[in-house]
Amino acid sequence: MLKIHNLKCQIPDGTEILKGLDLEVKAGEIHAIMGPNGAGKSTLSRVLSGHPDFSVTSGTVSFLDQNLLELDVSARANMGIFMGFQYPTEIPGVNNLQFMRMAVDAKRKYAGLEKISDAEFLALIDKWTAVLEMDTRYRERGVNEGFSGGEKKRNEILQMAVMQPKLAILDETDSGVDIDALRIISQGINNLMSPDKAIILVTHYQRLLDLVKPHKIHVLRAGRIVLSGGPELALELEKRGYDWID
Amino acid sequence: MALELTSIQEIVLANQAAGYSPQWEPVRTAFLSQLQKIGMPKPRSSAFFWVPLSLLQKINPKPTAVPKAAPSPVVPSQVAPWTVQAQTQNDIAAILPALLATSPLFIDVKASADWQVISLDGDSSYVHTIAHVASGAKVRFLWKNATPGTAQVFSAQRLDLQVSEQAEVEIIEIIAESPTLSAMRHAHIEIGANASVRWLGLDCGAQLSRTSVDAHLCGSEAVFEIRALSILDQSAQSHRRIQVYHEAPGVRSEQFVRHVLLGSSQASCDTLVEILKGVTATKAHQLVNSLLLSPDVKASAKPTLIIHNDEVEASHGTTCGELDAMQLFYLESRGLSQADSRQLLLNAFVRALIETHPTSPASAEVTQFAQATMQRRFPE
Repeated sequence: MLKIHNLKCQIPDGTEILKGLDLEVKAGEIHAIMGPNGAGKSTLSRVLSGHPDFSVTSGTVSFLDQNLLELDVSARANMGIFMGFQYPTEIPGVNNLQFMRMAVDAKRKYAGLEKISDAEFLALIDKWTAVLEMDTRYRERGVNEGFSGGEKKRNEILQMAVMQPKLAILDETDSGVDIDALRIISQGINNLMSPDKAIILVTHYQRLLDLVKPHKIHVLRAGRIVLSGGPELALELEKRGYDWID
Repeated sequence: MALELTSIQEIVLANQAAGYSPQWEPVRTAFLSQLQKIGMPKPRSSAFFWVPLSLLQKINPKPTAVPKAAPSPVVPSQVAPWTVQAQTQNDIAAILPALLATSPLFIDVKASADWQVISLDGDSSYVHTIAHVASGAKVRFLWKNATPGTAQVFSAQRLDLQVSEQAEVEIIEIIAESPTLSAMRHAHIEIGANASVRWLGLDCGAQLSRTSVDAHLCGSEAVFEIRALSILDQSAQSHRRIQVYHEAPGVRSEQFVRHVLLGSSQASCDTLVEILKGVTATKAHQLVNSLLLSPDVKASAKPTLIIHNDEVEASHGTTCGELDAMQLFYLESRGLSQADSRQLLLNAFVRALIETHPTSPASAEVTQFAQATMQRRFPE
């Protein structure tokens, strides 16, 4: 599904953040990317989403056999890439529910489909707000406006649920949430996973990986993936940190 | 025989005593022409002095008083003291209607009023309205120059408003898109105990608009809220000066102003809150946000707090810039095109201000006006 080869990117001041990153994610897989602060984990998420502050200087990224780097931000989303933000942005004045509906319709338009019907959309919202144990009042508020940290993360998963992406990149979805919220969010993620989809979890902690079982763990350090392994690698990292990795 | 005067105050008093006279129309016209040539305040100098009356002394020919004629209409005793007070203010919008010999229109809102709607004559050139709102009354003032086909060039309008205890007042101010209009408005407001005044203003783009407001929170627990929005294009200018005085314990004020600026438009906002000595348990908030959507636009904001007490809650802030890049990215990352995302954020910027004003039939009209203006400015 996703193939990244020798990806290098820099920020506007010329600093190189990713320095030759390789990664392959197949349908049906959950990958976790771990690593110390400043390793480039969030940068990878943003580069895959098309954030304009990061310029790719070399390498290739293919998604569903298409050159992802040629697509703008919205086209990537409509093709099936979803980024769950570490710090979801508040947008006062943009109604949360209407925004999600616009997102769904944009994706359907991209796929050549009709707009979603009222009944279908509301059924989708009802189902997932129940799974995520979200209060209905969050539907009427501005996007993430006045939400707590945990509510914002739930709202991210709700958006992911209504958009039904092929590949979800969840950037520190577990940060700033309490244990109960993490359990609910993880339940949502697990419910959304299917054999034709894939998930990349960017995280610092094992606790998320206890609830969402990854197939592969990667250690990202200084802009490169320096170590990959199975779920047991996360446990070892929890015990030993990153200093032992060359 | 005409008497040449050097003191603006003398001119005002003399003209007010004389009443309107057609023979003074040429003088009036020349005066206004010169006034318009004074132009806008300059940055770093008089930007926040709101056209001091000393500038008027530079006008040539000087406005001239007329000989005394018939006395002006009788002023009700309850409003007389503060009409005099307003005249002494150093503000052109306050003084022009009097300077131009406008006879005040008196409005007395009875205690039984239950959201009585009063339209101030926004389409006339010179209007001075003096209104007294009785205790417990609920009234809505509509102050707009929105009559289709009205081609104003210059207007100077003034509202003196006294709000008695427990009364509720909503003021809806709309300046429709009028590329040839120079509009000056002034409101002097006194608010009694447990009374409230909530003002929602929208400037869709006059050639030049200046609105000044002096609000005095005189009674305990009084509330004054003003929310104002300017959506400007081309060379339109919108300038606001809002001064709020906390004069009794427990009073609260809110000032929230937003500008959407395109073309070579300009906007300024000079906001002041002064919390007097001995006034405790009071809250005041000021916020000015300017959205600069063209390299040629100009915005200036000067939020000021003067606090003579410790036990208060007060804040002020101002932002100035383009659309938030992170918000744009967030929307686009959900599949919305860049154009749709920009449209959504622009409309949200406008809506977020209007939605903080309590919903009313009149505020719905402001929403409609704002939406129509946004659609003209930013066609899909």
